[in-house]
Amino acid sequence: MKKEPEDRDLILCRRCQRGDIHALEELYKRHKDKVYAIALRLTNNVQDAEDIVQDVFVQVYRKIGGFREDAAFTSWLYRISTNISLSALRRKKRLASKPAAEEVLRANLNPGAQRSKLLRPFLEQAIASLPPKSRMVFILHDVQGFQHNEIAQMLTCSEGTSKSQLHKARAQLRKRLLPRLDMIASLTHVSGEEP
Amino acid sequence: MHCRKIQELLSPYLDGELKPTRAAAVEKHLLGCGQCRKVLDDLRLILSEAESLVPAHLASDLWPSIEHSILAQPTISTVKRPRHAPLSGWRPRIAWALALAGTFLIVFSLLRDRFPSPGPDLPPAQDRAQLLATAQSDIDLARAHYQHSVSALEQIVAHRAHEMDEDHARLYREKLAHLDNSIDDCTIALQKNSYNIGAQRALFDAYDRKISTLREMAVSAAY
Repeated sequence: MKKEPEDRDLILCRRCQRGDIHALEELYKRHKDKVYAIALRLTNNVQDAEDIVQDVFVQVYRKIGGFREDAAFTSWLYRISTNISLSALRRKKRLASKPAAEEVLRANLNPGAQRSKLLRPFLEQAIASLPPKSRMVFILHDVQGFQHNEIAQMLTCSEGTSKSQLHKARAQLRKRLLPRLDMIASLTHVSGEEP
Repeated sequence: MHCRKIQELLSPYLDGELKPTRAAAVEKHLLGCGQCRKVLDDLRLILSEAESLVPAHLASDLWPSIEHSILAQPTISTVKRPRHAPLSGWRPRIAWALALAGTFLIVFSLLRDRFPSPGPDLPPAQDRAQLLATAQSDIDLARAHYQHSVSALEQIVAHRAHEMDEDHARLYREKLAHLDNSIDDCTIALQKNSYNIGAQRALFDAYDRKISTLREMAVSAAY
């Protein structure tokens, strides 16, 4: 049995297929934050991420006739989102962190946690410096919580490729964050906390 | 196993992807190797931080831009032609020909609905009443959604009516009148038998055309 939100998505998709633009508006309201989160983490640029969200929902409306109900709408939507994000990355090649993004990333700091203070801004930068495919898989799996089979569908690759990209991304992140991780380990050792 | 090999396995180990024997070998190695334990702790910390990254929320409302992009799609030619283009004299005739062709198609579809091809067999009498009620309720729901879209587009068109070419506006109004007649005919047919698949299709088709026509009107008024 399908979950209620998926049923609602399906109803909205059918209305959209008949040209009902209000159904698309509801789909936009339901999924814009997730699409934006993927786009922002990938592009590391607020303006680019907003452009991607706009492109994604225009594409959804144009291609809704090709949506088949044998897969969840969200998988289809996120596949469009990842494809458009990757195209934008390739087009602009903005792989380095930009000041506008840094402001957003700093806003994500949790002031209560010392370890987070020490690690999080550097983690965000390290994620931003990963190669696009590895970054995409890391964000989808370890940040957004998608499973490898879902990621494989979105990126039209095998589950094995998704897994190997993820392990590669984690290893690269650790390598880039090593000085910070060592500092945190020494602080933890002094204070006697569990890591 | 050497540390290098163990460290390659730590990421799949954290995800529970290793076979039990492999996982046991990793755990055994970790008991005696502080360096590999540190790598494992580092990975755990990275993953825990990644999981707790605050989800990004879209601050701006992008819907108006999205709606504008969709409505501005060139469903009809939106490129302005010069006033005295070589074929300008033919334009009203072409427009009338298109209108006649559209009318012919609508009449044809209505005649086809009056003499529908054999559809699915009706179900037994005991289930029929329930199916008819469900079908009527689905049709009413769909009609409500269509009407909602139609009303929104009619408002846009009314707002831009003064910007539209008078000849084009008249043609669009005539097309809309035909479509409304078609919708009324289908509604009457469905009131008699909501299980009439042909009438259902013709109704939704007429609504689709009406929405498409209104959208064309809105776009053509903007150019």
